[in-house]
Amino acid sequence: MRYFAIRANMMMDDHTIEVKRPRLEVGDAAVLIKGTGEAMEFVGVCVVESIAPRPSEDEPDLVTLSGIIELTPHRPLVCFAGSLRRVWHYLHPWLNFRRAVVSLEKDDFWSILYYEVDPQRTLFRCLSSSMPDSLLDDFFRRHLRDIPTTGRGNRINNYRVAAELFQQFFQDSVTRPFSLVPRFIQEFDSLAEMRIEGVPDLGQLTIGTADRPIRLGSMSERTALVLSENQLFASRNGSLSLLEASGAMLSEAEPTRPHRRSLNGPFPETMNFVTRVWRDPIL
Amino acid sequence: MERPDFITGLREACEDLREHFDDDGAAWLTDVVPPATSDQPEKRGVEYLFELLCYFALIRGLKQRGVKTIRLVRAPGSTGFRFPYAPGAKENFAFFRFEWEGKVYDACAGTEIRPPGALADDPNEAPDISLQYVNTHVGSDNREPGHVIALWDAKHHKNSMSKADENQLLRWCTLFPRTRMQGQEADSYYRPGDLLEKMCPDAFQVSCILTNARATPFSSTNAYRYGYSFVFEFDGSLDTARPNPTRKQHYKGIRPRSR
Repeated sequence: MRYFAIRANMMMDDHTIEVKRPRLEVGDAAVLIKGTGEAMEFVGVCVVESIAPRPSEDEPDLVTLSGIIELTPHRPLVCFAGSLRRVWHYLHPWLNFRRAVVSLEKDDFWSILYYEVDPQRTLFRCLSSSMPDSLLDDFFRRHLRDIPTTGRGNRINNYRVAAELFQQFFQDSVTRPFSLVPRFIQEFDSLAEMRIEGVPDLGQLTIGTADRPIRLGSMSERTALVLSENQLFASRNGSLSLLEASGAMLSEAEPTRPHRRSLNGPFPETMNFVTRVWRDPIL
Repeated sequence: MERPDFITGLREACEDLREHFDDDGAAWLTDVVPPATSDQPEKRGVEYLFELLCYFALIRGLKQRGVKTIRLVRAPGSTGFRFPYAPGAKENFAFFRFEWEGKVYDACAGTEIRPPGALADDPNEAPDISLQYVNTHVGSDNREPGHVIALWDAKHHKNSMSKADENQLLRWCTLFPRTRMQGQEADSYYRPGDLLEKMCPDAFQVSCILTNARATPFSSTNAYRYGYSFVFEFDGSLDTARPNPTRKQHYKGIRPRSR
């Protein structure tokens, strides 16, 4: 059995979809996706019941889906972005689901079905995606030997370790330097108030050579804005910032998924989150 | 916050961070703020900010102490308000120039100076902040390095200060004997009413390490012998920051006796 994600809006009233040169085979399992952009969500699961051969090369095949079950609650894609292997655009995960039919890995399918968000993996992927590539390279140069990887494809094999290391790296390379910025701006403002001859505004402060100046002043101003508005750093109404709160994600247990080994079919017989079998078209 | 909301918020915040620091902003994150690399283990990015913070605090303090003629001498080129990222020639960077009691001084950040009497192959030095006496007039754009009369090393630490920091300042204080200009004896450093006491804010009245770190043990013997101090827990505030040892302790006759 293989696993796919299928756009739900392609499905007609009789639960069929028309696909040119489908990679689907009878018995394959699929999750149904609805919506676009940040609103994209997984809304149901189904199996491929039959594939009618196309009359000619140019016409699409007629694929009939059956056993359609609604996932309740719906699984927002953005919640799963860090958990799914299929997703590599972690900050814009809908870009990985642009096609009508997208293949999924088995683990991804079951994560969606059981609403299993991997907290450590999500934290690692979110934080690492926020960094410029060069800083990410720096992280892996330092910690490649510290992160367990699989023999095949050099994939990270322990996201708890990776997330802990990255959170520390983020703390050292971003949070700590950033914490100095408001004081730095305050000091400059005090200097500027004295109206010393020749001192321009902070935006013009640079360091480095004339050929390659780094705009320290404007970047400090921009950082101050981020610190006050971005919820990674800014706490609202006395609550923790997201970065502080994310520490709790590291102590959570990773999904062990023991139930998967005992499953013979594509879906378990009883699932407490399944409230009804869909008989109507999703859209 | 519920799990889906938390993860959605986390993703949005990370996306926002990425957007703020793409393109030229990436240079800020990769060149300025990152931690030390293997190429430059001693230089941590955050120190650039801390050095300039200390430097601006000195300039502000000078102005508060009554230095009136202070002005920025701009770096050549279109980015005139530019300071060094790595040690560089004074002629290529901005600095502050002022007059005090008829003499002209430059306050420089990280520019190179030749130690007096250095042999031909000896390297130039580049203290984080140096106060130089220059033989020129205040309106001049002469950019030659002057005679170092005091210097300061800014050290931003995650934890505590290291012995390497102390050794660095010791090296500079031996290479730049502050008495050269005024003809004092080595054990008469920091006489009451001297130049530094009159024109500098308290934290800058002794050549010292300015650090955000908490106080740690250091060699008092060397500090007295070579005339340097430490300002611990320094965040740029001038109201409460004091050198340790104090100026008075440095001055001959009121030092603690050795056992």
